[in-house]
Amino acid sequence: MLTLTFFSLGITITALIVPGRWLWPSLLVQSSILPLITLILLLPHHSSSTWHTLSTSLATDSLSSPLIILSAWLLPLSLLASRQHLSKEPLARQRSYLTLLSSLVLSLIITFSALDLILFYIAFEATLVPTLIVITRWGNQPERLQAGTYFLFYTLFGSFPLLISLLSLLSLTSSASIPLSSLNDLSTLEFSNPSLALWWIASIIAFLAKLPIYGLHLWLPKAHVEAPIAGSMILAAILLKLGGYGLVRITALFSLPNSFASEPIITFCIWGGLITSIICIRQTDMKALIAYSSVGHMSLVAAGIFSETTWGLNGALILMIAHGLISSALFCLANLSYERTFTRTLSLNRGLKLITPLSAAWWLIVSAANLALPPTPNFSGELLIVTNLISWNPWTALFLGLTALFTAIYSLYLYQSSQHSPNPSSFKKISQTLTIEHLNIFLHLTPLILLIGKPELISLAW
Amino acid sequence: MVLQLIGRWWWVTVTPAFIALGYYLDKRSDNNYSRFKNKSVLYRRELQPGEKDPWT
Repeated sequence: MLTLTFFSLGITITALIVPGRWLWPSLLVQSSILPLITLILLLPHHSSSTWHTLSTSLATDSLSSPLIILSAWLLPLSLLASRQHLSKEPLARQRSYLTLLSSLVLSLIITFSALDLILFYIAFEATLVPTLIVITRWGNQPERLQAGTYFLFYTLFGSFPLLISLLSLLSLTSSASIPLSSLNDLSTLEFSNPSLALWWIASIIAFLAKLPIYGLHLWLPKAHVEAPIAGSMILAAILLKLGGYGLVRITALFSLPNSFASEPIITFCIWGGLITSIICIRQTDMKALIAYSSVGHMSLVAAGIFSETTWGLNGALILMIAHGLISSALFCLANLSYERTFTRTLSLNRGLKLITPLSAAWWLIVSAANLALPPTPNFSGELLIVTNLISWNPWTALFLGLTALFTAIYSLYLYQSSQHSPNPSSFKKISQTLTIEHLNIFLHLTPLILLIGKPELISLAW
Repeated sequence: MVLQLIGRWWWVTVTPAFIALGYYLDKRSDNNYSRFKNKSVLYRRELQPGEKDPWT
């Protein structure tokens, strides 16, 4: 694992020292090699049920490997997507932007591969700093400062209880090791049920805010709407998955609270998924709609994780990876429209099919995948979670069915309202789309299409 | 000429140097894990006649 970690550290340092004219070419080349090396190192072990690529405090298993590969895959894509946006900025700002993005991927790789919960916590919090700077410094509107404040306070509000929880764990069991977490079941300690439940809530609240589930989600639409393109891409594709990853790791410690508290929380997640899919239909801002769509999908992921069954956990992992690629592609497409029409309002982005026909095809494919059309991995993930939840309680079929219906409605609404209808009169002169933009979307969809044929690459081996 | 090239392109070597350092540390860590393997209760086995201990 240190090879990958030092590789991403090298990219971060290169971004700081490389001469100006070589800044973009060198970063693009190096960040394109990173996913290749990651695939070479991690893919041979995908079916291994144990930890592999061990270093002193870093290792990967079948849960963290796909998420690390996704993080590495999205670095060059987010750089490609931001190039146009940053081209008019001074060199120093471009350099600091690229340094922040590569340091973000470095901390993500450490978070996903940490063998110790304390190291995991430090790296988890370290992702906050570059994301916050990217949102508040490179956002387009003055509201970015408010978005940054929301992002900071929601995350910190959840993180302090988690820190106290992890330090208590360390002092009581003398180990915060993730591989030993199944042996460190806290239910065996002599605690009353209420205090164990309080400890459990303190441990999961940070991840529920990060996912986010409905109720702790208000920071997300603001952050997505205000963030620059690369910020939105990485936020939607990977940072939300940190919440899901943390939940899987931390719930292994609490078998007893999970058993009595999972029912209300799963019910709440299903309810949240339905509400957010209805909220999506009344959005007028393209990015806000995609952000709320992420909240809905992540609610399903949380429900799958709290069910603590093989189907639920596998479905959650598959949906996290598939949603990571699709939401990132949706943000890329929204940016493609924004760079031409200079508005994110859906009603002012009509009729783009006539001007940019190929991007209309991408919109169709990505919207179809977002509504979990078979045979995309989004469908496999949702099917596993939904089947699992219906077998838990048949009444959930009603709410999950409605959620699926509303998801289909807003995904088709997004496609239809942006591509069909006559162009508004405000469209005077719209530049053609660039090959590099199409390449970017293509590279988002390629792994998704390949995963249809080999879904075991993103399934848990334990 | 060579010095000029190095002076102009030295930054190209930074990332490969970091990769090499990471690879070296990974290998060292692997060796540390396997060095005492035959002393662990879980992985201990009878050595073949003439076979050396893995840590020698």
